Amino acid sequence: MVAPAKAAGALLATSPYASRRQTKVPGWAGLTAWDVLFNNLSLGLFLVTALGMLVRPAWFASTATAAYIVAFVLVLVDLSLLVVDLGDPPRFTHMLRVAKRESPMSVGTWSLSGYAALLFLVCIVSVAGWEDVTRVLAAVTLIPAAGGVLYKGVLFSATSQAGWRASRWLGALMAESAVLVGAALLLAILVLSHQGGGEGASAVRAALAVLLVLQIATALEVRRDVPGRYGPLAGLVVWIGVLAVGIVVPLELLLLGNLFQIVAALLVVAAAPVLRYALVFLPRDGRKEPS
Amino acid sequence: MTRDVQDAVTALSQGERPEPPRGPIAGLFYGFARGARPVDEPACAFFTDTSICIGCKACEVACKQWNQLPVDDVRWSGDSYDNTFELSATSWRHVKFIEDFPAIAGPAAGALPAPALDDIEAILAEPRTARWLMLSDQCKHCDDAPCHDACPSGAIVYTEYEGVFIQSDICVGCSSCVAACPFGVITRSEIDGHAHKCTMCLDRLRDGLPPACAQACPTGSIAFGEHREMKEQARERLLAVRERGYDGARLYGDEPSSAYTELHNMYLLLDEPQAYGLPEQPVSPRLVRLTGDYLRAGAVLAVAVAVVVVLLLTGGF
Repeated sequence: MVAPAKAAGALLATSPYASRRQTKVPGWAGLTAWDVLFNNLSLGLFLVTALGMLVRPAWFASTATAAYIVAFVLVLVDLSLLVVDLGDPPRFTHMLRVAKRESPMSVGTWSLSGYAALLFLVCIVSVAGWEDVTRVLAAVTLIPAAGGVLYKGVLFSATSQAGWRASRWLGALMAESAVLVGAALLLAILVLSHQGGGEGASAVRAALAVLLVLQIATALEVRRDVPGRYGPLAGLVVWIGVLAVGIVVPLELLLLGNLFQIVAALLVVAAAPVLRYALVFLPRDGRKEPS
Repeated sequence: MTRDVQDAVTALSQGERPEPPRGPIAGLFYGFARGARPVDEPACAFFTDTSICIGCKACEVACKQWNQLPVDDVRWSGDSYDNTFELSATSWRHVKFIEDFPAIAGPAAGALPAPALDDIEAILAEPRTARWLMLSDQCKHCDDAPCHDACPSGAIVYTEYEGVFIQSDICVGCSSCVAACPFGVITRSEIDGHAHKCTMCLDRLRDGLPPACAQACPTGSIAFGEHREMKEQARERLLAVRERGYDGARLYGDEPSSAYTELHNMYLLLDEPQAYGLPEQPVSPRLVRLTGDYLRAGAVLAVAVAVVVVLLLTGGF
């Protein structure tokens, strides 16, 4: 055997495998994006409502029950999407055979199952009018709810997939975004129940404005980590969609007072699927994976 | 047929089966029951020496045949003789072909000199301007496998030989393992919705046989044995190949890095790993990213919750 007079590494330019994606993209697509959305809507709404009931029960007493029920319906939709995505209903329960903290999917399964079960009880005692029991149960439910919020972004970022793996703040963005859309949804519920001018709405509106600013910071951080994952035009559309429609315009509307707060809240919720689609589809942009 | 096998066949023919759960309570806990842990065996590993791979695909065929895997959509990829494209749920071995031939400059460049067929010394002395690299790819059976970490159902386990094995009947098809694998090995089957990959021929190992691919390899390019012995063999072979002038030769997966553990499927490569479609430095998501990502998410969630609480206490602005 005689070595060829070729420099090592010269093959990188010509080998067809050097430019191919080294990982396989999981089949997480549209259903997953909606799953993330409903997860965030339910958990965010519950978190903000429960915090409101713990800190200022008088301000939210008349809307909390409705908010809890909406959160429960949303988590049922989320769980249904997860079951459909797996393709076979018993498969979800199979994930409850083991608990693994190193598996974000396992953390999420246990968190969501615990959250949904406890939220069901919260709804029942809230409808029954047992306020003290509701507050205690809601406080306990905050624990699995926090787990449900935290795992979602980490499920994507702690992988080997291009786009997700580069984004160290993806989990942070999704966690913050969950509270943001939850606050927007609660504000919408408050307005629709004719409490848009109350102290509760005022506090939630202020929180929403601050969370929108925080969203800009986390979104910029994610954008910095994964530059150019989408083409120039698609990237621009996504960026304008998320930044302008979902953040800047609602922020301005909120600063105008409570006149347009329902529009601002609905814009935040309407822009939420765009952000989630953009994040879920990050590894599917068809570009060469960076080496 | 040995006596044990005869006994087993007789028992099965007489209808002996594992006892099903009796009653609702037993049925409830049946899914959580664990079988007896197998007796530990010496850790095993593959050593694939790509310098003597001839690209015959006997390993691919043997794997398909032994594991009864269906034929994929076989067509030419345009990349030399690669006609299976990639590892999949039904292709657990994939032979890659890399042609490193000089560019043909056209008629003006003149014809290549004819080889001196009657002079062996002259043939051996001819400058080598081309090379053809082959690599038989498969699961790396990582020492600390990201797919094993990511699996939420416990379907992915380590065998008594320290291979990574997917129990497809338990797999829920969530694709967490697909997302976690830095080598692009695992695939979710479109047929049954479960994840599949190389099993290290666990059934053969338990019967004292080597994996089908290793047995079928006609050049000894795919070696299989105890991990320690395979490492020694790989290092000896690397020295031999380097002595013959292949300065770019290297071992892949024989040593752990700060970001990844060692592999139970080592390769002797003649060029950069990326040229073979392997990551230069694989990264374990759990070792490198998981904790930090949770902490960042937790910190930002705490800030968001603090914002809500403070504004609830102050009544907004």
